[in-house]
Amino acid sequence: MIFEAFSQPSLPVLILLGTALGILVGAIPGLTGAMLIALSLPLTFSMDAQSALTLLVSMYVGSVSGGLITATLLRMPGTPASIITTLDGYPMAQSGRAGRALALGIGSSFVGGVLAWGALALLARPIAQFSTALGPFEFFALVIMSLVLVVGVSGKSLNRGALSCLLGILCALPGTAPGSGELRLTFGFSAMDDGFKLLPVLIGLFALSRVFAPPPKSDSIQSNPPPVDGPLLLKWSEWKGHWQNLLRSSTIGTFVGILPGIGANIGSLIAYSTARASSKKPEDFGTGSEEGIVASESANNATVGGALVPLVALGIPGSLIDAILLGAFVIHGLQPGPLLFQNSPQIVGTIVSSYLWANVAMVALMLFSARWIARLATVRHHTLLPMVAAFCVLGSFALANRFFDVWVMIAFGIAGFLLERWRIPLAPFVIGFVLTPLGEESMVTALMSSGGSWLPLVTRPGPLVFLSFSALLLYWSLRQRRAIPPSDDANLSA
Amino acid sequence: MRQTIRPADYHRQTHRALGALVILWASLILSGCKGPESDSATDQFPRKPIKVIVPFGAGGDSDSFARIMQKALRDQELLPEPLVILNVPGAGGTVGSRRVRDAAPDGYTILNLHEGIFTSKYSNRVSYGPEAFRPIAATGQSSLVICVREDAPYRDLTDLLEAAAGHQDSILFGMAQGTPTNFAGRRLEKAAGENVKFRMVDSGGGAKRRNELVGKHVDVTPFSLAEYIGFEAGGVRAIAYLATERHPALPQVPTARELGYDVVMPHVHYWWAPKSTPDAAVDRIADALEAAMSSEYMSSKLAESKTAPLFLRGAELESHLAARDGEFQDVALVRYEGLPDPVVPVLALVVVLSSVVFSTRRKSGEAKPHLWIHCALTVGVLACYVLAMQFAKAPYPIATMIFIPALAIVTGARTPQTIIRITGIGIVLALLCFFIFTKVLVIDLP
Repeated sequence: MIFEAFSQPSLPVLILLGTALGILVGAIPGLTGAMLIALSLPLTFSMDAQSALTLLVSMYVGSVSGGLITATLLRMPGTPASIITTLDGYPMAQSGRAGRALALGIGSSFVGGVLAWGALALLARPIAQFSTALGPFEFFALVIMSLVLVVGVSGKSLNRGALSCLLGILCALPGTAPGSGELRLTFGFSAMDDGFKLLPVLIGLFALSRVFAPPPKSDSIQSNPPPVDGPLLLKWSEWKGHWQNLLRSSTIGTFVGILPGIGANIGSLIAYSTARASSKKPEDFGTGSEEGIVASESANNATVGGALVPLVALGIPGSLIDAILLGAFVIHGLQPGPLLFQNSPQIVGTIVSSYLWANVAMVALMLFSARWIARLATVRHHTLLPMVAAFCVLGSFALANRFFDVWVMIAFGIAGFLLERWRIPLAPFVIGFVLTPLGEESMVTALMSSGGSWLPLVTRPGPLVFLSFSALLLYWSLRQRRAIPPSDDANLSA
Repeated sequence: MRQTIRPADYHRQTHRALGALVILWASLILSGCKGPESDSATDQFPRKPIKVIVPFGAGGDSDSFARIMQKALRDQELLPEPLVILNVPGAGGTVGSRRVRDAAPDGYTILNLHEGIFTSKYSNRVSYGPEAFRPIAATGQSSLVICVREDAPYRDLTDLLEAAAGHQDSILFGMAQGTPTNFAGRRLEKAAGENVKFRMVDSGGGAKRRNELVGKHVDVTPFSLAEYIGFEAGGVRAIAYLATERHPALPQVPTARELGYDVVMPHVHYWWAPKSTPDAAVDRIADALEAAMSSEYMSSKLAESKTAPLFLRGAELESHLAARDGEFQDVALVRYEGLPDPVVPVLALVVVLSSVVFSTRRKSGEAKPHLWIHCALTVGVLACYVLAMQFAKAPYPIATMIFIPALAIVTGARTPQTIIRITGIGIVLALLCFFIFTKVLVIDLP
């Protein structure tokens, strides 16, 4: 789980490359990690599974981290994961302590990543082994729980979250129905026999939708970033007051990551609120509190490791980006779950260890590049977007060598653009889309094995626990709706 | 360190950063690089690479087999042109098979597909079967293994089938609907007599069925031989092999036929061409496949996956296919009734929720016509680009070179200088992508 990332000489290179690309797109507002990973997936077709997953996991780590630089220096969170960092990082940088703000952010990201790596290395295998005890009824209930969870935390409006999730489910239905094998909602097109593929849908929603969005007015381009001075690597003693916060926030981040469907932005939000609640100086939060940066950045990196746990162990994506990684598993003929540990321990080891080393590479690259990377935020959209659009077309075509997928991608690009205009969060849509096949297949298996009875959903302990938990969650999110701090739906969704 | 930056410097830095991004992309792409192959032209078939459609994803059983064959042909130069593997996955292999059925019958597009060609017809997924193709050859054969849990009370297949007769519809048989595993279950029931009845449970692919079996969610399930060998250590016990004779790797496992149940369920990789492909092309490919099958590399690879080196062509192949067709034809797949249809409830909920959401919508952020014009223009440019490649057969590099500056103008590039720069980027990008995708990733671009 530590050194597998060095089993091939090319893997460390891929880690460096992936992390660097991740940091770059993380730093450029408008480009996100989900976009980078979705667009890179077609390029990994020709690689072996080990290299492909190493690269994609490194991109994931880099993209969650890169946003902190622009968030701190320019108040432009490059990725949604860093929205919370702007609250304290930017005021701190404005008051002339940009170097220290970045140093705290980078250091906390690393600690969060390493602690989550520990959780990943320890938990993934036991959970995977336990998972054979989970039958079809359990999986069905687990999917329901994931959907409730992602709807519950997806934004200000529960209705919008639920609508988004249902639309995602609806888009997953066309094609061959599990169980009966009959075609449904294909409207007579044989190209629709397999429904909409994951990759064109994701590329459309995350990459192409950005191309349709209006260009920012040129005068809104930010002024020059403030100078970064002071050492970016803090001394051991300077971390002294932060250990408790680091541990707590990383634990929160890891746990939020493990919960299916929700990721870095929610993790950093919860860790931030908790840090504020337990701080001696809560009034400093929002005006340049060191604790705020530490909480947000350690938690958002910790979610990455946490989110890999259910992905590797159960095949249930722990966050949005993991939904794309699940696609990478499928494309390379791998089935996450206990068999993956038994038959391809090398793959599991590589994923876990490349996650660790990507965090190391992230620190090194960020220390090296933090002083100039903020300027990337000013790259004009009309330079970037045509290239993004060209890659979108190429990537979706390359998946199965057919133009149908390109049109699907364009359609979902428009859909993503419209959803964002209407302030409907994207996360429930994608999680609904990804989990529907698993949920429906489990339902078919379950009903066929019980002879058509739904009763085991409440007589078996597992499903009962999952369903009660979802009911509780639903109740909680209905009651606590007002307690979530105001922030833009569109930001929370991406 | 304190830096003051003049605007000119500032832009240069920006471009440098962008340059770094492009270089990283390029190096990423090149890291997956293999050298392009060159081949000499000959007068006969084939004059250009032969596309093999594998109707499943990369890394699966069919894909690996096709790629092993590709390597065997290339290493021994059995064909003057290479095979190019094209994965066209989807809908149980029918997306790919339909493409070959409708392809030009010139021998340059062929299909590698196993029993899926029968099962997708007899489970009514598609209307056509093997009769819609011209068979080239059958290569490599293994069979299904019937497995139970290690600690299951059934000693052998007879035990199991007697139990299934005694307790009808209570022994859970894991299978994937409409695949040979489904047919194997039905054929066992049929061979064992009137009152033998399993409860068929659609539980997905091999890895999933293994988890269901070990986790006691199904009682018995067939695995392919390769799958079984992977699972053997993990609490799975083979009770019968569905072939005409025992497999040398599993000498202790009897065949169903020995026990008195005439059920065989081989797994063979077939090669198909469109229906009216000329003899010359079919024979040439069959010759090459036959030579490859007897190569040392192929035998070692086949031994690894415990596949028997079967090779059939011509009349032998025709009679083999006719026999297989009969095996699938004479069992009726029972479709499980009583599954809820999710389409109507989901659709109803979407309508209800969207009416709730949009009736409470705030009217403040409305009326931004320029925004919609921008979106419509972008979609228009994009649609022209894709349509040009799909229907007007515009070559990919040219279309992309025009597309990139066009979109840049739509998204806000105004000064001639910027447009010239982006045109330059477009030309480089188009050529780079074209080279990488066609030569390195061997993906066909328009």
